[in-house]
Amino acid sequence: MNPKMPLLLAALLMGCTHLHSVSTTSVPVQRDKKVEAEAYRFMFMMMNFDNNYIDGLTRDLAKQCPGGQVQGILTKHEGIIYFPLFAHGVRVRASGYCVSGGGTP
Amino acid sequence: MMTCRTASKERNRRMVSMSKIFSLVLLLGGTGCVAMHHAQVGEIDSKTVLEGERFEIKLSAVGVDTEEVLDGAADVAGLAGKSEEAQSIADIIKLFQMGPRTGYPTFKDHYSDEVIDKLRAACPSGSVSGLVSIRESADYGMVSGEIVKLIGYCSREP
Repeated sequence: MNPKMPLLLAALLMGCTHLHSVSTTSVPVQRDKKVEAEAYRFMFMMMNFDNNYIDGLTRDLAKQCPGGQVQGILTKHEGIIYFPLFAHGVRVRASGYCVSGGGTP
Repeated sequence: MMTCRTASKERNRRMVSMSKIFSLVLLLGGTGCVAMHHAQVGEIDSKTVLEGERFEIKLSAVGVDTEEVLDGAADVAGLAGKSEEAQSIADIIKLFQMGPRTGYPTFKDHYSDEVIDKLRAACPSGSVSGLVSIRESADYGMVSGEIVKLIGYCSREP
């Protein structure tokens, strides 16, 4: 076997994810209904001209909890390297609990 | 000896031109690129988010890529690639900017302080929900826009 083969395989198969930031709001007592939303953007050569793709995140969560409140929201901002320099991705995931009416946090 | 020196010079010249092409590709790729450093979603009142009025607040300051600026200054002074002094100056400046950070250094650190006042002005009723706070940078080569952005929904009901 070519001695360079393992290095080449490692370089090609290596996928990396990075957690850029994580935050949470107060977690409610009522945790029966979990709601989740995700915003994602693929970036070629790290080119990205706006971050508007996360605009819909709150509305997505609100739609899953009509008439209630979404509390205990965990927000994760992740970076993904599919192939160094050329193929990257950014994902923002938000998950929380739907509290009907005016539930106590 | 002479041939060896000439070959070495030629090699250096090629390396410099390769690095210039690579820098140009990176610069073109990075021109106007926006990077997100942090995003946080606040608590959501579905009624306010779905029926309320959306608002956006943006606060920013100019960031400076000191490394690029020093490289540019060295180019202008004709010191590019041969000055140890230019590198020493760059290293000293880097010492003052050590530590974790997002984006390029700015000249002031209180540019985001007025966010509360802006929030009050954007939503006079005071009923704000679904607040998303974003820290991002818009890269324009040597300078950048260091941005703090808030997106939220304001209840129409008083």
